Amino acid sequence: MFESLTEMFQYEFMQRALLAGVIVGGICPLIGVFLVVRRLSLLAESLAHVSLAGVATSLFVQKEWGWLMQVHPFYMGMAFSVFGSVFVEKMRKMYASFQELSLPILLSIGMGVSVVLISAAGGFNADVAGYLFGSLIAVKEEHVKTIAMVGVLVLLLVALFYKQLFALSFDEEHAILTGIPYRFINLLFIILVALVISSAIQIVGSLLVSSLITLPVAASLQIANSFRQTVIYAIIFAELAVLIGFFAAYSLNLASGGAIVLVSVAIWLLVVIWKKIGLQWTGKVARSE
Amino acid sequence: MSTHVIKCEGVSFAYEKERVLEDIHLTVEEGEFLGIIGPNGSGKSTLIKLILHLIKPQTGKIEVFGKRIQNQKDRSLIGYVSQKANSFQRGFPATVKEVVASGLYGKLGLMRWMKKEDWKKVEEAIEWVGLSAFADRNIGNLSGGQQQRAFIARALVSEPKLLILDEPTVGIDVKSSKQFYDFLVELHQQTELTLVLVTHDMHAAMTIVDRIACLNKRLLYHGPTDHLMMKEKDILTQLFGNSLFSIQENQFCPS
Repeated sequence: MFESLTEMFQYEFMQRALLAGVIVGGICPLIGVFLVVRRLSLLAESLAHVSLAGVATSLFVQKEWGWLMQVHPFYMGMAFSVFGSVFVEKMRKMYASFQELSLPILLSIGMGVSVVLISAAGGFNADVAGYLFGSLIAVKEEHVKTIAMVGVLVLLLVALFYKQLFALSFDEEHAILTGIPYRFINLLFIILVALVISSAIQIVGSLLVSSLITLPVAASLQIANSFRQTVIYAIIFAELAVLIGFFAAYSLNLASGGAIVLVSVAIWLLVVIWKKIGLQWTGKVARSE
Repeated sequence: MSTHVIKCEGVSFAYEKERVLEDIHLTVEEGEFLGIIGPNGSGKSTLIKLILHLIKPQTGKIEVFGKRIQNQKDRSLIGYVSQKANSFQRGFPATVKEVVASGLYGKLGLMRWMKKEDWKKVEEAIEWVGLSAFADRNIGNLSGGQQQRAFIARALVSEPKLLILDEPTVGIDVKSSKQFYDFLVELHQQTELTLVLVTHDMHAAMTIVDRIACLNKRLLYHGPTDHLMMKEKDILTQLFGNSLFSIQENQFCPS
């Protein structure tokens, strides 16, 4: 086992992918905690599909008008995702009483554009599969740099605005009343979500990205007491999932995204079971006393 | 003469075409405990929103601490506890301490962190409302009455001079409500806070506040509680119907 571990690290592409994976494994649950407690888990899914639409657009443009412009799918996906996030904020104001309506609308647009353009660009090939399910080999050095920049930006801004994000998540009405600049913070946050998702697509793929955002948080919520704990546990669970998933994907030749997600599911299940047993145990102790 | 904490002059408000408040004149003095009562839809919450300057009156003017609220800074002397505080998302992962601290975040501004003295203020506020033993507990594990006390601590931590409570006991059981009202009396006696309690729980309001305002689109009565009970019973009948008194009297009938 250790042999394959050391072997794994000899490859430059694996080192790159692992670095990107560790960064993504940190920022996905960090953003995810705020999304889940604000009941916006579906936002991740929607923006992932919009990001995929960006990828598809890039592939299509490359095929049809490749002489005109060359934008790598990764960056096009990021641009689409950010654009989609601003759209969600605008839509939230338009449908004030059905705020979540913007999410399925966005999801449909994203998926529709993706399917049409992917088939127009030559159908589902290995490249496309990489963007759907994540691909370790496809992580280029420049992408790692971009992902690292996104990582630093997200860490910095969440640390800076942690107070405001917490207050808005807990009780938006009261937060607004106490003078928290909610429009600015909400817009900033949703753009961060878009950047995180388009970065994570490289590792887990657009179909699975929302699971890396929500599953570690779901597990963390089971056992955390404070908000701070929720954030810390979620990051630990996500990093574990990324590391174990990577190793499994490499040594068993599995799709990396799927492996990471399955490990996340396993962690979540273990936490749920552990909590159940713990509760029964404390119940027994209480009864016997 | 002391300045009025709240002064409403000829305030009217309508949502689209429906008139909610008409020609309200109301003053609240420093250190006073005012109860605002009225049936559902009488405009109580709208009046609070107007005082907080979340909405603007169509006519009339409202001053808080001697001036019109223009911006956030003017609002910083007001603490607010809503009925909705009671229906925050159950299971939200936050401790009492984290929730109370969030009362300071608006004042702290964007770039400042919580300092040692800020955390001390948080601990003092928690101690004041008697929840020190629960400071590190998850807020969802507290009883309804304790949760509302935590929300009072969140309002008190920013050191307001006026505390407005909008139906704070909605959804809280009778026993906890009673304890909560006792706590408000204590708060009133031991601090210089001006308190405004909005409620449709008339009996509770009568027993704890100094003065009372009866609202039903118009201000029907504004004055001492005992005067209302002695002389102006018909106002209460007008507000809540005849059944109010029959229920009250039936309470003492042997069953």
